[in-house]
Amino acid sequence: MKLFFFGQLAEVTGKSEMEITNISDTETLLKKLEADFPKLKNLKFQISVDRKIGKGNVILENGSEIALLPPFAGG
Amino acid sequence: MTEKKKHKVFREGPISPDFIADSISKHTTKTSIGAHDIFLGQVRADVINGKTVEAIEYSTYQEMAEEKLHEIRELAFTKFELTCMHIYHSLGKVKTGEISLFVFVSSPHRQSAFDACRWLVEEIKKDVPIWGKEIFGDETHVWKENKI
Repeated sequence: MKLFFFGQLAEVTGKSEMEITNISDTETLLKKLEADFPKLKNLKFQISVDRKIGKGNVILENGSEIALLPPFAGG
Repeated sequence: MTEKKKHKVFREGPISPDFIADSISKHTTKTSIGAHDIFLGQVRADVINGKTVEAIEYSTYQEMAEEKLHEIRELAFTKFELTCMHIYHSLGKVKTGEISLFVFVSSPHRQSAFDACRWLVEEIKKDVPIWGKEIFGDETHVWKENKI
């Protein structure tokens, strides 16, 4: 699965994308990311799966496209 | 007749007044239109902790943004009586005083044009994954966040 970081989150993690494997859902992913990148705990963001922002815990499948989205600032 | 074809929203750098004027002039042949409404978002020189913003550098999650904008467009055509609609947003660096968002709606009558334009701008700010880095004169920056 591919994971993308945008905006401030790319800056904080030093990554714009990474491959992840063996993660079954977004709650598990969040725990792992907060362990790997403790600064994420202090930042606001939403998680999209296949370009949709889901509510609650979303199941991940092989080939899912996941992204961490900080607050939007268009306009 | 409505125009629903997909068009490119994102443009590199600021949206020039000439581009806006050209867009307006392209509508002279569409004589069912009685009202246009236009929103222009301009980069503001905010002062944050004593430092003045000189530019915003925009980025996006392009695939998701395009899907979301497509949904917003389709919904706008069902909600409002529109003849056509154009949305352009900058990517990359836009200096203060320059235009970063251009929303242009056309309708037979003014009320639909006013309502659709306002609705579109609010939806774009709220739901489209676009980020802005506010850059100061000393090269430091903060990340912009829209007020909902």
